[in-house]
Amino acid sequence: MNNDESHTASHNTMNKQEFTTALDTYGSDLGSWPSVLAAQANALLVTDSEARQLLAQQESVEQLLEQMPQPVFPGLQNRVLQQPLPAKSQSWAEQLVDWLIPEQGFSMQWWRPLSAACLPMLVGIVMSNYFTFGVDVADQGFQAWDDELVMLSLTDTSEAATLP
Amino acid sequence: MTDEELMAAVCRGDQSAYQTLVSQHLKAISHYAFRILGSHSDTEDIAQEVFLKMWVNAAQWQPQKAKLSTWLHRIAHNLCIDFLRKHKRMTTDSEIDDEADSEGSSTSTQESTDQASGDKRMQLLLAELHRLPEAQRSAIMLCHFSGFSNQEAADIMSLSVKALESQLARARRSLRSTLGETANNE
Repeated sequence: MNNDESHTASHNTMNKQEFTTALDTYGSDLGSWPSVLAAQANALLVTDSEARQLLAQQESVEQLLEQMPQPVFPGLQNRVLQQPLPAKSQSWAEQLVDWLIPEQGFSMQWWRPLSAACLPMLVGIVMSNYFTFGVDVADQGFQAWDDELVMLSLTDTSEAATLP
Repeated sequence: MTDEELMAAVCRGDQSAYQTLVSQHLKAISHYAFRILGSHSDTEDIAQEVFLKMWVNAAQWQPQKAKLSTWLHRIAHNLCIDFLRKHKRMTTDSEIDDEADSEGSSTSTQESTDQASGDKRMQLLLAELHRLPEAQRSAIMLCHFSGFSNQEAADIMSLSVKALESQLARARRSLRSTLGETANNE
């Protein structure tokens, strides 16, 4: 269309052949033509009766097209709606995403992602409750820490500070 | 709900979204298919298949590339072309007559000569439309009836805009020529 405009913009006027070509391409509604072509066509229509006749013929054809009767298909909608549809098979990842981020439901759009985010923390609490991961409270070395703290508290460190 | 939301629901297997889309688009799709195929029964088969394909291939629709109606018309167009190629036929004269007869019967009570002349022109238009090559007929139907822009119609028909405009121009010239001759003879 831009090429057409640039091509025809170099001409100041439109001849009948160019008008016919544009009429065939864009139809009788000059408003839908490229603006340059429409302006040239309007100028031609003022002076050329054949162009006016051609435009009237095209308008007549388009009016007739608009008056074409619409076919009726009784029962088609039921037929389409009742046709068996294959089951949709979603992957587990798609199902998970759909559950986590539902399309509808304002509250669900918040609590589901939040609960999913809290899940690792809950798992951590539960696991630490059941598993020691190598840390044994009954370990001798662990008891020695208490002894070490008692001894440390009884140590007199003031002597070291007063020595010359 | 928007087309995008409905199609997302269809992707998840939501049948109520499917029903909504069918009620919204069935009329346009069936009218377009009928104008290409010219047969009620074939049109119903094609319309049914269009919406089955919509259900199965819903995830393939890309809303940023095409409106849903454009995508559905493209499916319908391709199915119609495949159908015509498979059956190696265009609309038969008998079917044109059927349609023309139905036109005549619906207006048979009209006795005005203007009306009779209008009916004759309408029958001529229908016959001429059916005589047009499929590509020209599709171009006219998409741009005149379905209200698509030249760009959208070109996308539906998998043509460049230039090629579509060429088809449109030939179709308009042909229709104008035939109906113009009739008007002159009268």
